[in-house]
Amino acid sequence: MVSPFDMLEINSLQTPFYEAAARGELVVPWCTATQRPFWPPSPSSPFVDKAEVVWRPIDVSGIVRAKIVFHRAFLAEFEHLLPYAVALVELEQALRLLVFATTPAKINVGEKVTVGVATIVEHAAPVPVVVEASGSLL
Amino acid sequence: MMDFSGKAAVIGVGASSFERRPHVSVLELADTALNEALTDAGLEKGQLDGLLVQVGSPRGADYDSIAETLGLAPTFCAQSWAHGRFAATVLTHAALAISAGMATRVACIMAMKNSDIGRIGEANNPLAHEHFRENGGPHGEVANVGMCSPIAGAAMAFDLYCERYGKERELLAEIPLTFRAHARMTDDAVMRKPMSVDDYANSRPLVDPLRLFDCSPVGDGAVCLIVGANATANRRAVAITGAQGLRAGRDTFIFGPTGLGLAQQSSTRITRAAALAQPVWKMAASSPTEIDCVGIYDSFSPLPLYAFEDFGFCESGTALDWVQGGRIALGGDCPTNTNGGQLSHAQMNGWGQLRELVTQLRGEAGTRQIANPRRAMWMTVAGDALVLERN
Repeated sequence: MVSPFDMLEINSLQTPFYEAAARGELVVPWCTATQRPFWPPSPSSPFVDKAEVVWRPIDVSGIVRAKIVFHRAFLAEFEHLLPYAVALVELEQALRLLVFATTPAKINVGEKVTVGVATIVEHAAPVPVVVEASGSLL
Repeated sequence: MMDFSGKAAVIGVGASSFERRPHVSVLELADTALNEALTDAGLEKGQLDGLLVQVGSPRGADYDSIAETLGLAPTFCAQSWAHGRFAATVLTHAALAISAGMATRVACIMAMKNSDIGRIGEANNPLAHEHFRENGGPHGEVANVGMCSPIAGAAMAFDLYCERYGKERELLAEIPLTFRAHARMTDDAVMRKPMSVDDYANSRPLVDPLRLFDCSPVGDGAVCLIVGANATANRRAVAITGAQGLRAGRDTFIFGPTGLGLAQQSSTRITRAAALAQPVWKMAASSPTEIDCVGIYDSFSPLPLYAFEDFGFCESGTALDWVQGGRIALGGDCPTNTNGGQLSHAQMNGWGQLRELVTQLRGEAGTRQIANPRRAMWMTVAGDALVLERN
């Protein structure tokens, strides 16, 4: 069976994220009218009609607001990662991202974490991940 | 505004059985439900001029094949998407069409089969691509970070809810246990084995904090509700007196209340006063204390909590305590999902509960009949709602 990951193509709206991710950098879209970051990507600001959008880095230090732990891999590509966690991490201006974490026991709600970008599924594009100070996956 | 209150009614209900039947034709399921609803309404197929369908291909039967195969010739047709969540909206559209004179009798049908495909979230389910839908799946899935399957979104919302309000996760047991007890009184319920608190606590963890028994089982089946003009002399007709649509946007999440603080939601929950001023309450000129029976979308066990809060049955952040002590059980103040709901009756995207509300209001619910109910309510965490009243 063809993996759904193999069929993904990076489109125009997603390109800035993945170009920065390839450099190890996390960038998000910002509304130029309000100077607020937002997610998911949009070609125009969700806050102010027709306001322009620019992509730039965001402070990668955030607080874990919730976490879930997978005991079952719904896609075979994640089987070898079980049990893994996905954390809801709140960054500056309440921008919240879903972030992969390899070690559920080390992720605690209310605690500070650092978000990086890394590849977690072979051949797939990099995604937001919780990282240690050394930069390795937490 | 909204002057269709009481103008349309559910005049016939029908359903197939709900056991897993991988080899049955989904059109056969639709046929059974339609014929039962026609018999119930005392109608013939030629008297139907509207057909509204939910789910459809690849899991279900589409409106065109239903009409062609079953010998209908409707002139007012529409179909919502391949998931749940639009059950009440389908009935609302039927009521609107009838009150606007675009149709006179509308068959609303949901027929689907899931037992021959993988679970939603698995690669061999025809909707697996939705994990990777641009800007996230329909239940908050973001598969490339491992946020797979609808349960993930429900689990994240519930974890955030418990953290935000400092609630004990095990209080959730009340919901699946109550609905299982209801299903044990319902002949066509799929899950009728007794469930104890220990059974629940020991059920397999899937995505913490949710377990297997927090999930509705995969189901096959069909439900048909026929909506027509309300003739108040028809004592078995159940009038649609209140309706409210589904919401969408950055402050909504399909498996969590508005303002919970999930994803890009605000952290501002609805006030009790605003909850009681929701359009459905205004249209029906009613309030929670007047509701005798409730149906709630419960594909995962936390979902009823949020609906109780968003529609003003209790304050935001208090539902886990509010549902305890039998309040939502038959015999309690607010009997909910009295057939067992999606968790234990059948995962029919809420159509099973709508059928049950009609059955209760008609006084035809047998051993689980509520005493003399007058008004019932359907509501979901997504914002859609109906008030149904006995003539």
